[in-house]
Amino acid sequence: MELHPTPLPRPKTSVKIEFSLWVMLLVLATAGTLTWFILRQERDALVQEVTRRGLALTQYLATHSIDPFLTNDKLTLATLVADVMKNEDMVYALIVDRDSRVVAADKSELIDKPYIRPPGIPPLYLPEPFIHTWHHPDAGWVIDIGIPLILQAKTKIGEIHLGISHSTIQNVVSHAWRNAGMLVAIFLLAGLVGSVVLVTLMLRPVSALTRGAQAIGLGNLDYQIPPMRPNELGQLAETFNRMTRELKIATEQALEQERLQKELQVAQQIQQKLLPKQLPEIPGYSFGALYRAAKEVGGDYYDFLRVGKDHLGLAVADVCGKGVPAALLMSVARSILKTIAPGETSPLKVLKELNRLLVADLSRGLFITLFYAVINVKNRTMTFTSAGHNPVLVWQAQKRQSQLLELRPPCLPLGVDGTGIFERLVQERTITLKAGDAVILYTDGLTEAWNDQREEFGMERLKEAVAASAGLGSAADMIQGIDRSLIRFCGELHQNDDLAVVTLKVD
Amino acid sequence: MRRDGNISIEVRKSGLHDVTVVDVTGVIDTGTTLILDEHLSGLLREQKYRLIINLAQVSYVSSAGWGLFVSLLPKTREHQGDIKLVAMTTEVRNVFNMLAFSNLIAAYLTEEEAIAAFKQK
Repeated sequence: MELHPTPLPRPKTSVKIEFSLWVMLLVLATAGTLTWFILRQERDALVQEVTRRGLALTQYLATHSIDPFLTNDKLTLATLVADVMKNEDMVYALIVDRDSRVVAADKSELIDKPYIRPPGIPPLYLPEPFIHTWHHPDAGWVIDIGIPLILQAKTKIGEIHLGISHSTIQNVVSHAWRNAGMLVAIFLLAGLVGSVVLVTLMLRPVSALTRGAQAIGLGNLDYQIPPMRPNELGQLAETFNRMTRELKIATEQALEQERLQKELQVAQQIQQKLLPKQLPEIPGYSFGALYRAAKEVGGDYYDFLRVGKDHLGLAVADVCGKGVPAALLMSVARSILKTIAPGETSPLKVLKELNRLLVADLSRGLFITLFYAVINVKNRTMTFTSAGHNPVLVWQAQKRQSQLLELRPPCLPLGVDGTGIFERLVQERTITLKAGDAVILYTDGLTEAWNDQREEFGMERLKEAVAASAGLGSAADMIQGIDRSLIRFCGELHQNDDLAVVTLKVD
Repeated sequence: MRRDGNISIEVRKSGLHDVTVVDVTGVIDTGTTLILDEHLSGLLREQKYRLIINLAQVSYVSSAGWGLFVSLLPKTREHQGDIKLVAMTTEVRNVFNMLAFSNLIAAYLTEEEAIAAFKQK
């Protein structure tokens, strides 16, 4: 398993900056809205206060100026106006008669002059005060409070107008705005510092997580994030650590698997070397062999053994079970056979000895089936014996009927009995081979190969294949013919079991 | 039509002569042999040494399976018990005969015969 140690690029934006910007925006919006709202209320309250004072003054003037107005007592009216003008923020005070002529004013030059009505102020008839803010050419914004002078509740005799400056209110409000601005600036600064500190604190575990992820990305599976406070991030770190531990175990397992796989490949190579590298070359005979392991290593075995000058040993074996244990057992059996076969022309004696040695070494439940034959190449006889192995087929070319002979001397497999039953059961027989005869030895991987319909190749199909290929020529041609039948039947379907086939043909 | 790699194992008491019957259904291949081994070894640990294995529903027994039966046999016999196979299908019996295992393991056509054989012991 390869890890890719590519360092990650630095992030394009920073959570710190993003977060700080958002906090400042929030502070600005909140403080701004709040200030605007409060100052508006303050200004309205001030305007109301000023208006209330103005109204009181207007009422005062109206009440006290009726009599001097009727008697045309200009001195008293002037005194009243001067009195009113002593009040704060007064811009003007005017008493106007029915014909819009100024009767009394704060400025003497206006007296007896026509009253120039400011824009937006209509002639007053209703007994209620009329309040209107207008822009005075000299004094700026002015609140005009006007009421009509009404005699006996029905006859209008004139109007009173007081002008109160708006600038004081504006000064107060601007001052408040300046203060508020400063306050907002302080809030913003505090928000900035606070958010940076907060984000740094909050990001500390995230940085630890990032460092961990990078370390693991670079292949360090021993990395563990230091313990954190038991919040969501702490939980994430714990999950992260657990994931890393599991990843490490999985990686180690994968490496172990890979190592085992390689060992199996080596075992397969060794096993292939244990099989004969070439076929015997004996005049008057031809030989063929086919071996296919289902897994990396198998438990099937075949061999040609040089028994003597005129004697050739022929062995096909199947070790129970599969994989490495089967392959190991096979190599043990092979070594024993290689040791005891030379010079011994009786397969029976070889099998008895083989069983004796294997029973001593084999753990219970393991066994080997073996067909072993010794061929006297000179006089064309085959002496054979079997230890629980699949029947061996003999093609008798010169017979007209029942050309296929099945050799299946009943006996226990090797390695299961050391009490004498095997020795009692095992037997050998001899047959004579004639020109054109063929012997077919195989393991159950051949007869039990199945197709995608889950049907077995079976004994009958094997017999048909043998009959069809017996006249093909050499033993190798026969093997090819049998293999073609097998592939025709089961295709390239992966088989569960090993397969070994050996053929011998008499010319 | 076999070797689907599945097996089901049921253990029941025969009610006679302290015999335990193991009903096996499916195939006994290299993989399922391990499962069967667990069951049978478990029975031996419980000191149930008189075992009848009913193979009526078994279509295939691999060499590993035969190896299992052979390997457990001595332990049962040490305790005056035995493993007896009953109701083998033709396919299974063919392999049983080829391996000449009748010389090692007792096989019967029916459960009753096997139980009766235990009685005679």
